[in-house]
Amino acid sequence: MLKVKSAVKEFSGFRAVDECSFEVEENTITGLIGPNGAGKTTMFNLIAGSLDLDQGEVYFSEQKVNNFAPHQIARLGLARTFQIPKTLKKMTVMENLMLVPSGQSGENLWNSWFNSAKVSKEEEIVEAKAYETLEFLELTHLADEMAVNLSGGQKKLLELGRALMADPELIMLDEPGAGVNPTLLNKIAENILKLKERGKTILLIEHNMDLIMNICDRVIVMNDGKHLVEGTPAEIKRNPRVLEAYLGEKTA
Amino acid sequence: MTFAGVFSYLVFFLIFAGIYAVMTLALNMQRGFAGLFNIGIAGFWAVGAYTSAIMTKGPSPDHLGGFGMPFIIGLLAAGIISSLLAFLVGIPTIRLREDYLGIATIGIAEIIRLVIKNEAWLTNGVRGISAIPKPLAGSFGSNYNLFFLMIVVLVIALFYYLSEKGINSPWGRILRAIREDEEVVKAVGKNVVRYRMEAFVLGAFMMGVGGGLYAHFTSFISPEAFKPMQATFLVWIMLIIGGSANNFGSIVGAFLTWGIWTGTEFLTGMLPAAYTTQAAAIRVILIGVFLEIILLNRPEGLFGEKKYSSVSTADR
Repeated sequence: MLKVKSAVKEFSGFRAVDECSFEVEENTITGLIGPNGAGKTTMFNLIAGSLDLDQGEVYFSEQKVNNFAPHQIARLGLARTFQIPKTLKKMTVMENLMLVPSGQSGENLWNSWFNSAKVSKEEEIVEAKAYETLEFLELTHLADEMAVNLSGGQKKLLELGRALMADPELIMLDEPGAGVNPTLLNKIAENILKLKERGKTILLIEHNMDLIMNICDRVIVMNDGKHLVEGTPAEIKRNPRVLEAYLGEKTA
Repeated sequence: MTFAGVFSYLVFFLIFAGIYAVMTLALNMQRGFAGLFNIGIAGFWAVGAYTSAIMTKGPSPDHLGGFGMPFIIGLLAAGIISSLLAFLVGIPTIRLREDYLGIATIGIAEIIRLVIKNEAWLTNGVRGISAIPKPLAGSFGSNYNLFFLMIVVLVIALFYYLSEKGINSPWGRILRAIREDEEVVKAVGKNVVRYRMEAFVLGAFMMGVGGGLYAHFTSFISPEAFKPMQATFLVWIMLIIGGSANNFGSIVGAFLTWGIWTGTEFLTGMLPAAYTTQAAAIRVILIGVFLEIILLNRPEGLFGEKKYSSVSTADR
């Protein structure tokens, strides 16, 4: 599904991602963990096209996507969320979701002006889909609320909703559980599992180890921009190198 | 002053204010909805005005021309050439952050003004183009300006309608989303550059048409008319006063600001002739004070941002 080959990204001499390689299998939940500054979010940005690779390759569904712009990769079926939720503040929750689907004919100004019938017909379908997504996330009561008025956790859910609206193959979630209360966290975990049941592939960055251990099929550990180890959650839990990376111990 | 005199002045006033309203609607499309920082309105205005003048005039030894096209073709050409210019300016600059786009546009506007000033074969240079034909001239006698006002109102109505319809559509939803957060829009697979360019070009089209109206109404244009104060910053003041991202506010802002601007002309006209130079500066100061008062009391402008939405919430 997703393959990263010796990816390198430098920021003025500092190697945030250093010769990192890994693969994500289809229809799995893969966790990407590591201490702060390990290069996880940078890796996300490289995959999603928000940053350009200095070296290495990224393949998405067998296709090399190194030089793709973010919107081009998104169209191939990759959806992502952001570490700090980004919402369209002065737009309603509904509009935040309705923005997403690709190929809406009303996105063409000419159609919106002169082909209202077709556009409003499509809008009904998109609106129904957005409403379904809100039902899935149990946010229907907020449909007409401005996104700026949502709580932190609700914004996280809205991000997830936006990823769902794209009907992607691969969903990359950047700390879906950060700053979220335990009840909501359980709900997010449930939703992620439901997505897997629907055949989606999920790659997530997370610091909450319970969440990682409970839902992930595989876990990849990054440290200092490098691929440290990977395995099942149980294997990772026992691995002394992971503990070392987190606690900052250096073996002489 | 007789009633007829007052009435004819009022019509004259409304035509000018109306042309400014076209410009403000155009700037609102670029700035209010797409967040594009265009401070080179004068350039697009001038290109529109000169295009329409050259297209519609008969042959003249002083400048390019002799096409003798009808008024409506002149206006369309004005819009098209102005959009084309926006497209060309946009290719290198539309990706830039907003302040850089601002610098680029003000530079372009000055370049255009200097080209008009110096390329006499095209524009008759500083002497300007005169005797620009008025549509259906002579048909309405002393009520001619009233007829022209109708044309201006029609153009405003058309642009208002298209702008509102556009911004409440899925197209406008993307545009508003870009203004809120570009990264989100890219992440869901939309080509941000394309939409910013479309808004820029569409706004420039309106500005070109507004420029055409201006040329035909005044019948005379010269580079002097397209200096930044009157042709760019006054439009910005109108948008800010009426409220950015609000088409209705844009129109009201234009009429109100034009009222105050011409009002200051009356005031400074009462000064002794020796103070003519100072009077011009006083007008700018007065309009600045007016802007300050509005901004201190209503930071969002008189009408503030309108809640636009592609979703009608009533039917759920």
